[in-house]
Amino acid sequence: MRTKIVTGSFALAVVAAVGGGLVGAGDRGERAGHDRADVAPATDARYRAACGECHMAFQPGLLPAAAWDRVMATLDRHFGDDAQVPPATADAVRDYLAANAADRTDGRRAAGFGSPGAGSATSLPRITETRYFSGKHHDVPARLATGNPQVRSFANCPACHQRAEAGSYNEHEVRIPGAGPWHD
Amino acid sequence: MNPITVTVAVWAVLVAPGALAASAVESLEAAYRSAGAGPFSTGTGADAWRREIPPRDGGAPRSCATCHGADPRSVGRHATTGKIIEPLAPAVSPGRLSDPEHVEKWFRRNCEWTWGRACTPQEKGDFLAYLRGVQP
Repeated sequence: MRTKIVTGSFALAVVAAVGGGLVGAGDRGERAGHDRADVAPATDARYRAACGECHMAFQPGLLPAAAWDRVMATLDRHFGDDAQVPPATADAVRDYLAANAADRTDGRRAAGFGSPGAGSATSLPRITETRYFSGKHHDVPARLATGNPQVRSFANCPACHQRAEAGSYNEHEVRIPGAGPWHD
Repeated sequence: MNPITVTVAVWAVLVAPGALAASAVESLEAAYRSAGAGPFSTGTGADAWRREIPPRDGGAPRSCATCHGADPRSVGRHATTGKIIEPLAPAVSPGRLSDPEHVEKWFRRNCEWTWGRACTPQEKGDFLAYLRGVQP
């Protein structure tokens, strides 16, 4: 059975790779110069599997390394949930997040997310409470986000940012459910 | 991509998931039986799916349907984060219930969050019977 799963997963990966390649090529052709991700995509398979089921696997470049360390040290009290993972998984995820954190990389928006002040010393750091995030979202009314049944939380990036999973947060790609495109 | 690769890929996407779900569920059911549980009931599983229990901290009552939706054939939405949760019924969601470890991980996490305790082997077997029995 394990063999079947591996075979299936491999075939899926092949399909995904070929499909992704075709889409990517078309995308580049049509929108030259706009295909660079704002934040490097979260590519680590272990991280995506361990952390990407309850919420989007947030790109490591959205918080500085010290903030990720605090998140990983308190998984038993993770925003109201017990999110503990096996020790080997936690080690791998911690290393991945630290190595690719906002203050360790040079993505277009990484400097903003990597600046001090993300979270406080006493509470869990939140991407949505970084000064950079607040600056970009302060004029979005609550009824369109937290009060929107199709969004619910500012942490639900892909609800509005169509290419959030790819690390792209361009304002022109925003489609708010029930409200459409967003113009600042 | 050569035709054989395409054939294998199509097989893996369209055919394998149902077979994998069946064998995974059977191995889990066997483990529950060896812990003294069984027989398993789709009706009991369906009732338990919608059973709401108030959390200890006094928030709104919770059931499986809180996040997964009342119908396991529909997409659900995480109560806190709003993330879309693909349907749990293998009949409409290929790949669901195909990995015993993954199933146990989420029983562990979600029984605790939803009901404030671990689910018994009997309850888990009833849930799997219900979900596996849902028709498209």
